[in-house]
Amino acid sequence: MSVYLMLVKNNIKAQFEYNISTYLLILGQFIAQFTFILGFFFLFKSLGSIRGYVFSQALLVYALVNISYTCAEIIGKGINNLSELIRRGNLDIYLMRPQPLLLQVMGSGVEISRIGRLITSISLLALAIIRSSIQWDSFRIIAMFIIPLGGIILFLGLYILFGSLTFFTVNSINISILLMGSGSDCLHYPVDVMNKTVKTILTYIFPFALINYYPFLYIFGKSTVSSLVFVPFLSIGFLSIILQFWKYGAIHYSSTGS
Amino acid sequence: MYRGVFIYRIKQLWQYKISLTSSLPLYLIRGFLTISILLAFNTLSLQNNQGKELVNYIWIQTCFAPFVSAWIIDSDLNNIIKTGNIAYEYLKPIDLYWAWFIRLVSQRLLTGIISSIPLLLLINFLPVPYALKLQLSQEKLILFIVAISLALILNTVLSLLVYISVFHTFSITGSLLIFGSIMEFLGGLVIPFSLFPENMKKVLNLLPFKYGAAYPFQLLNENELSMASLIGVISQLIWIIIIIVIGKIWLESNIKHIVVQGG
Repeated sequence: MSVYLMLVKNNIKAQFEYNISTYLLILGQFIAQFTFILGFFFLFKSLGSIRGYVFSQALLVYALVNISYTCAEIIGKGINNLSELIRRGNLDIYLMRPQPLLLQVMGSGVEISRIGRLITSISLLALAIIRSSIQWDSFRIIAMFIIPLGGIILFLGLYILFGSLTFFTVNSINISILLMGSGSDCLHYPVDVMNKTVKTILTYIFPFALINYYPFLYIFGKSTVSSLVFVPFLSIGFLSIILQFWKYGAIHYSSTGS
Repeated sequence: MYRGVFIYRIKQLWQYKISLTSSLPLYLIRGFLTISILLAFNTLSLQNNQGKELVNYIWIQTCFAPFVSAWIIDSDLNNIIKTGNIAYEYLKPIDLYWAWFIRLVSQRLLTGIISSIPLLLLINFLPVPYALKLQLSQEKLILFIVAISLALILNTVLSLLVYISVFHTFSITGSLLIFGSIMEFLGGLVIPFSLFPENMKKVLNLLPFKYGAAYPFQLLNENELSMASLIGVISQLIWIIIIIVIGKIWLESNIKHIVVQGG
């Protein structure tokens, strides 16, 4: 773990060597997020509510999911470099070091610029909490921490899953088209907004319903079962399956570089 | 000479044809998800025209995404500026601005033709609320083709401004993130243009971004062509000229003060 922290520290230091560029990236992330949320606002303003969720409720879901997505991106973006590492043969160097491969790959590309987006999402969360009319109790307050935690685990799992596929395809698969799709980012909405097929996929295959649907049933008072707020912890199961797949991929990796 | 740049670039990108075609299903899923979210809004039903228009708008946007999106990056060009190879570029007996323009246009054109436009054949046959349903006339089709080509040019010259700004920022991602997200938002790519408040639409009509994105999409939704739709083409032309002039002047002044980075 300490080795991982050292890698991260050096990585961040390296990014701040290009001062202007890094600050620009932080600013850019902030603006990108801001325009996105402005669009979200106009959408609700001109079209009303979405399947029983009003703006402040949807905003709460959006903010919590976005915090988890952003944190996962800060930690796990390095996995996207995997195809580059494989092609140049740098992965072989990593394999020789006596440290877990995954940690090294993750430490190789910590995206500090995403801080800009994190700031926006946290202020959005504050805004959503102020505007909403939720009756706060201890379970609901705990949920505010459990949901991002579960979300980070899920998104990391997704990164690792697509990273493991790189072992077989060599070329990286461009999931950013899906994850960053403008305005469409479906994970930012509760799953019961979607049509049936999408809902099934997001519940059973990529279990995002664990973070953006079930806990909110209790938070918004649609259900009285308070244990629903602990559902995000089930995402640990998802991650452990994916980690097995990663191990399988790493064992079957054959070098390409020189 | 410029034809050479064009053919070279197309051939270079053709190497990645499999990777480009693999975006087809991703674009399809993205369009599908966007539509399913829009249709979930309570006040929107397919009975009225608004719903149908939004579905069409999203599909056309998805199919022409590489033409209009700000996020098409030519990382080679970025490297040229960053590593100092710009010195070699400058030695070539061609105008730098137009050479880069051709590079970027050919990239957008080929990416579009391979990785998203083929979807047009498919999305007509989707189940009812999701299908693209257009009433086409010959004039409308011709005007759309003119408008989307001009939009392609307009977006390319706009993105050239971003590349020129790399002389100051040394990072294409940073410049692009700031400029690109503003451009996409004001152009009507984050949410459909018709959902902006009325006052804002008036302001946006005066800016170039709408003519690069929302304007050609809206053309296909209009029942019949009016004078207003023709004026759009003229605005496109005017903006293209203005932005080319700005870009050329900016590039010239940068080249004068050039400090070559790297050895």
